[in-house]
Amino acid sequence: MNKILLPIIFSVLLLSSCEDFFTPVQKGNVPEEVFYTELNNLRLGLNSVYDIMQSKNYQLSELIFGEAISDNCWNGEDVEVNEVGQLLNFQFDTDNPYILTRYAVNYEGINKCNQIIRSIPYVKYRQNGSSEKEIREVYGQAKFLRALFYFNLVKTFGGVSIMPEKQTLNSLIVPRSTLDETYAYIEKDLRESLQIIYRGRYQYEDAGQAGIGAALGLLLKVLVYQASPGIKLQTVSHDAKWQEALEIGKFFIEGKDITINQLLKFDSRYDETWAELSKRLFLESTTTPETVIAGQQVVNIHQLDQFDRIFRVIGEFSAESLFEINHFNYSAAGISGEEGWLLNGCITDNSAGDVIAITPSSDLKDQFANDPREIYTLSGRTINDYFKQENTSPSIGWFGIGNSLLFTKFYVFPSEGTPKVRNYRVMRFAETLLLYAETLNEAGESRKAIDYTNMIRKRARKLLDPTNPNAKYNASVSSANFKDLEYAPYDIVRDAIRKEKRIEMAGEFDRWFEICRLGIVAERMAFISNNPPVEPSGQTRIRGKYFKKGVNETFPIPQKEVLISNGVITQNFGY
Amino acid sequence: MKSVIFFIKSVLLSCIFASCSSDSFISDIYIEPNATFTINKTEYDVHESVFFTKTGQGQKFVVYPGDSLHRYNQPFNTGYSTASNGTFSYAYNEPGVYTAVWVASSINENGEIIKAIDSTQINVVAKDGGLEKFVIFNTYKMTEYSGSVFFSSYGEFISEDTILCPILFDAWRTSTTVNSIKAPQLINFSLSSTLSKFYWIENGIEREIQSGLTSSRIVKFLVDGKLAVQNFVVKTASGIISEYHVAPVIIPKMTKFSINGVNGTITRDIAYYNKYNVTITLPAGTDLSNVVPTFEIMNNDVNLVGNNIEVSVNGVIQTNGTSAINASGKTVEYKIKSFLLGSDNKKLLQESIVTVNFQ
Repeated sequence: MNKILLPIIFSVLLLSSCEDFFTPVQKGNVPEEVFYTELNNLRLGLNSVYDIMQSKNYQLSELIFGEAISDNCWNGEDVEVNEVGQLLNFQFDTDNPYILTRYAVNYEGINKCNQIIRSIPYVKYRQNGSSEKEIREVYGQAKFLRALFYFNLVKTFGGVSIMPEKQTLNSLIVPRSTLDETYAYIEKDLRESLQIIYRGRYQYEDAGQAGIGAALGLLLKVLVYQASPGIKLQTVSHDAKWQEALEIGKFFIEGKDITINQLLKFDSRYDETWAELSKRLFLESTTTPETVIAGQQVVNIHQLDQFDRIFRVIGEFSAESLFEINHFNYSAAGISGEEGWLLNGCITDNSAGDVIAITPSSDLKDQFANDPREIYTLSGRTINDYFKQENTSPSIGWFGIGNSLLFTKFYVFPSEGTPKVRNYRVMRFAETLLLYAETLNEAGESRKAIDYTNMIRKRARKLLDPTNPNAKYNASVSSANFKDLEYAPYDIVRDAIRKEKRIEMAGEFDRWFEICRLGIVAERMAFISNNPPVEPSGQTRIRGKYFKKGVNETFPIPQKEVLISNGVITQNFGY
Repeated sequence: MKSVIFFIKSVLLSCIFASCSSDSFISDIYIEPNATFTINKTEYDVHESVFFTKTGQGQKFVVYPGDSLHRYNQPFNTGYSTASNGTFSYAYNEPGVYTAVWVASSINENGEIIKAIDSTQINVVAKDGGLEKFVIFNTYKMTEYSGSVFFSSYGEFISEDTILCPILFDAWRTSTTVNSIKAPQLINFSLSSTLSKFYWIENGIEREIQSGLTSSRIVKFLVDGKLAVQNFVVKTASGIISEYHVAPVIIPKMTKFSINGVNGTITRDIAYYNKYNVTITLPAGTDLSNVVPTFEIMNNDVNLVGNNIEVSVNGVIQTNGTSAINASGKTVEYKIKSFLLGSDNKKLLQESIVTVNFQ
């Protein structure tokens, strides 16, 4: 009998132990919502977001979609039958990997920002208040960065999925928000970040983090985009957005005081009570909607620097830089180049070959007639002596593409280090001034608009000043012919500001989005289609020929995303 | 014993090979192809997405949308595989009637590809070939600016088919060749479809013009010496015709202002097309509370001025040489309304503000 019973008893015991064995207690598991409970961990999380912006994937995406595809450029890949060529010629399909990368890299950033934001309530802080301020400033940067990633997406794809800050398995697929809703979300993030982000400019060892200048500059840009004719919002009037842009510009550029309510639009846009909002944003207890922020706190944070200095290594993190990503030629891991700038091969020197080689179009060059900024921006086959100061054969580029021109803006002199040390400038104060000038003109203040635009031109004219040692390299440009703009009616001022911006920001990954928001992308694509370069190689470029008006202003949602969501995430019109 | 084992092994081996030679499992999973499919609408705009969805069955589906290079059974033409769930979307670049072919296929037990085919007609029309932008470009070189700064007239839609183009009075010059609204004009325009064409109607004849091309500098707004509404037509590739009317209306200018024989100096506010300043210095002791100015609008040119001009101060209509004003505040603001001469359309209106400063 025992021979039967004993095996049965042992078996039962053995099998009952299996349940515990297969459902072990997880040790060391950190609940997702409290991933960053320590301030230092929160900072590490923030660093991981900046790391995305430092990546080649992110910056290459900005280069391709912001510059290469625009009317500023002819590219080596215009004539290639590969996926870059298909993209540049608007003959891509919805599986194009560069479209997918742009989508994915920005959502990666959003996801990391969301991790930080949802952890904020759980971070331990000391009671003396100092850590609370630090937490708030990390929080402000996370909101600013999330807004920037969504802005990249909305400019490229139109309305996109707004990912919930707290994600569950049931919320991985989120239907797309409308264009209006997406812009409203971005704007809200930026307006809230203004309450908590560092009210100054990070310098020295802290340089590279976004301060209030970055958030104000981006908010102004987002408002101007919403007001622009090429952005077809359904529920918001363009005039209202010009007025909001004016309000922010007066605060940031002119130093006019502003209330918290004006910055947040708390009275009209919030369902939360002030107490709830105050708790969520970690605001100081004394802050109310009526609290006034003095414009003097922000007006002097950023200024224009010398044009022949801002793109040099010595000009990194200058007062003109609103937001800049650091690069250097070493890493904590001791691997040379891990943190380096990796776009040199796409812009300044493609001799080693890279994904894409961008060159300026002659149409862009023509804008620079008698403009001292030309030699610092682009070059023909004869490279200016300015770049030969240290090396008679500087490592600038390749010839024979398009109009045989080159971008020189990002050249790094040998004495400055390798090209890998070059920082990536995301936003400059000069752009903000021109956005404000545009806003003023739209608001009927064309004289003031000209005054601000002339600040940019006066700065450029200093390149010709006899006291400037670099003036000798600009001998062919006459100071007398490089004049300030004159006061003029609205349409002339509008066109002058547009031209000024194209010159000032040439090669800075913004042109495509600029012509889209202005509603002139179709005519610009028709222009490059009708004015292809005559190349020694005899290659025929068809850029612009297949641009489909009403369709290609936005790119398709990656097909993979549409399929995975089983159609919940809908495709854009025309794809 | 060995022979028994050998026999058993042989039987088992035969069974294995026998099972291998049968493709019965393929016939079990074979799906008889049926190529029926649906599209989501009956008529589409150019570039509008057409969504195809399978309603039949098969192992694979390929779509031939029917436009150039994608026609079924034509040499060098290709089709598109559908997504794994049997859906496909496509957008046509040009209007037309396309035969979209849907091919469903499966492989049978003999390794043969069995196909089924279905097709449908897709009607694509250019619904909106309309005019989006109209600019009378570089009409007049403005001498008050250094360099080459031109006046261009940006058309404003005052109704669905009527565009008003404001014209600076300085462009009303005698030249009939260049630099004057009286000369043939260059038009910059934008149509919502790149396949549409744009025509100016001259004496009932359609003359195609292209945006910004010097060879298209043919459009005249002058008829019998007067500015007149011109008619234009947009024709879409699918034959839809839309007519537009463009009215050039001069922004009125006060060309003379005097009191008691003293002429004022008239200048345009350089930041506006429709704001003028008059500076007038009257003899000391003049009673400014009751002065009667004489004024002239657009040189009283009979081709511009008739019963279409209205001058007012604080809403009170002013009559040249008759109406008195109170200038004791040293500044008086005149408003000038100018309608298109000879037109009853009260929307064809331009207004100017003239600020008179008494020294």
